[in-house]
Amino acid sequence: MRGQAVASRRRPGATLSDQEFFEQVPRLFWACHAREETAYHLGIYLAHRPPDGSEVARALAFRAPGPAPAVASDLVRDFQAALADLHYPDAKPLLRLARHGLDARQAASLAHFELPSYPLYEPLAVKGLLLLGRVAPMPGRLDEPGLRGYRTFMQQLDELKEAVPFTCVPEAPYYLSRVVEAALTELAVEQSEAAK
Amino acid sequence: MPAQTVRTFDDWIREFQAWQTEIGFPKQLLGDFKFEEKFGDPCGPNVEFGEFKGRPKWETPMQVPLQDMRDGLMNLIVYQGDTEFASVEQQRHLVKTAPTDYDLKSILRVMSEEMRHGWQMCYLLVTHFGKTGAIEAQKQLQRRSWNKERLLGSFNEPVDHWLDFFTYTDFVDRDGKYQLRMLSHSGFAPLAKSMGPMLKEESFHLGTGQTGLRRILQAGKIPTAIVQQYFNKWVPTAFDLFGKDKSTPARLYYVWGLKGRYDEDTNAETPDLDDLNAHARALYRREVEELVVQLNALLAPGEPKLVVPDLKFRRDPKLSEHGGQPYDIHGKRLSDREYEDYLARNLPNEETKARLDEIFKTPDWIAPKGGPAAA
Repeated sequence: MRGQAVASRRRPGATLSDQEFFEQVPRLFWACHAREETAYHLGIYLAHRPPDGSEVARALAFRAPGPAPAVASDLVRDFQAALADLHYPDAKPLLRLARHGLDARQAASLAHFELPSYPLYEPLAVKGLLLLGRVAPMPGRLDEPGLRGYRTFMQQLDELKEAVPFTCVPEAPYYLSRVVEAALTELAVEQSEAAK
Repeated sequence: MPAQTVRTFDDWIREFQAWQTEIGFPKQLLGDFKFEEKFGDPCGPNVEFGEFKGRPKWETPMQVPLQDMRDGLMNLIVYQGDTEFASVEQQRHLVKTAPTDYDLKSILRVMSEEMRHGWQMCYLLVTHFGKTGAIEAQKQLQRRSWNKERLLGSFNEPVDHWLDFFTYTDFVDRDGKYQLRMLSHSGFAPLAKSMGPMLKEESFHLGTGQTGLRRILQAGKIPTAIVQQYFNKWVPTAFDLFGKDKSTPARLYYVWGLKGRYDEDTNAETPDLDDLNAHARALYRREVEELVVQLNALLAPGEPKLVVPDLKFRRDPKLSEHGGQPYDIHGKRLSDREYEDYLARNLPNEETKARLDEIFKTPDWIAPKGGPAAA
């Protein structure tokens, strides 16, 4: 009961409380997911170990405008090596990808499609968090501070994943990190459209 | 090696680990999954319905007023736990044939969480119900689905392949959701508080089933008539899982405040105590019908539509007044001879299995592997 009371209180600067967000999670999630289901399914269902260049390209292309990027074979090798060391929530092994010019958003996308507990790290989801009065840095460079930002983002999502009541979890074969991230993304989209 | 007597939960954990090995569960694939008991918020601090409505929820069995109630409560926990371990036994072979790595992750997660749910029930049995509870917790690990020793019919049926698994997960696990929701209103606080985390995990299982069926229909390789055969296999058993019409135990569980209605928190109507199981079954059936409408929307024009079997089809004679009688999936009565032919044609048979074996050898029997979703 105490948990519910805390969740129903709005944080300073928040547009809605966690509880108000939770009640909208199924609707928000499905709205976001409907737009990108095909791409998302290709990302998760065609992933395998060790990942190859086509998987890396698909992950990098997800939510990115334009054609899928060309992927160098040494990026694939470095990603395979990083995967061997990735254990949630440690994101440090992703630093190996920095020399390929990737940013934190792209590295998170690669991690998510292989290990879905790692959430996609998207500017809109960060804006969605802000609407709940929760602060995480925008995705930036793939370096130590950039990964600390990703870690903060993950911690915020972990709190929401833990607190969301079962009545607000959609029946879907996706990890809660995906459900919450997509719901936050959609929240930010709706807020931005309402402000126009 | 004969089983050791279980006295403490640590004893039970050792038996659980031996059970995992014996059924051939690939423990090495569990990763960092942690077996633990989890408790959420109860629906409220007081008993929500029945004769004891308004009194504080019971924290221990000794606070439960009557011995009959305590026995009934333990029985509810035993049945729930038994289904959890049984489902893992049913699904254990499928790890080797997962169509994708994500499906492998999904089934491992489903099986791990079902084991955790069984763990949770056994934790309650061992820590709250003394020697009898410990014996019952141990028996959960001694019955075997493949020997047809599990307590409920659905859980003694084999789950042979991934079409079977997705159908089972969509429809039989969905009965599980109903049972857990009904127990989430229990007056026994440790049981009620167990349900939130279990239901949260169950959402993934149900989504795995429905999306798996969608992916199969999107790929369009398995004929709808075969998919229907698996609906005919599982849905009637799921109807049976709700128990007998006009059930005395269901009435008592309600009157005692131990097991509520599925919609207890939103249904302001006075319950018909003779109709509790039928009420839950009707809500379940409506939900399944809505899901099947979604699946039918994926079928090509001219394809036969999938059907939720009628409540009279293939029901257990011990549970339903229509049980053992010759009805088809539309509820039409057949002669005994027609019925025999009908079952042979409308349930999975050797021909179906041979056809599926061939289809499963092709890489595109499920989307997105060349099916429309991948186009």
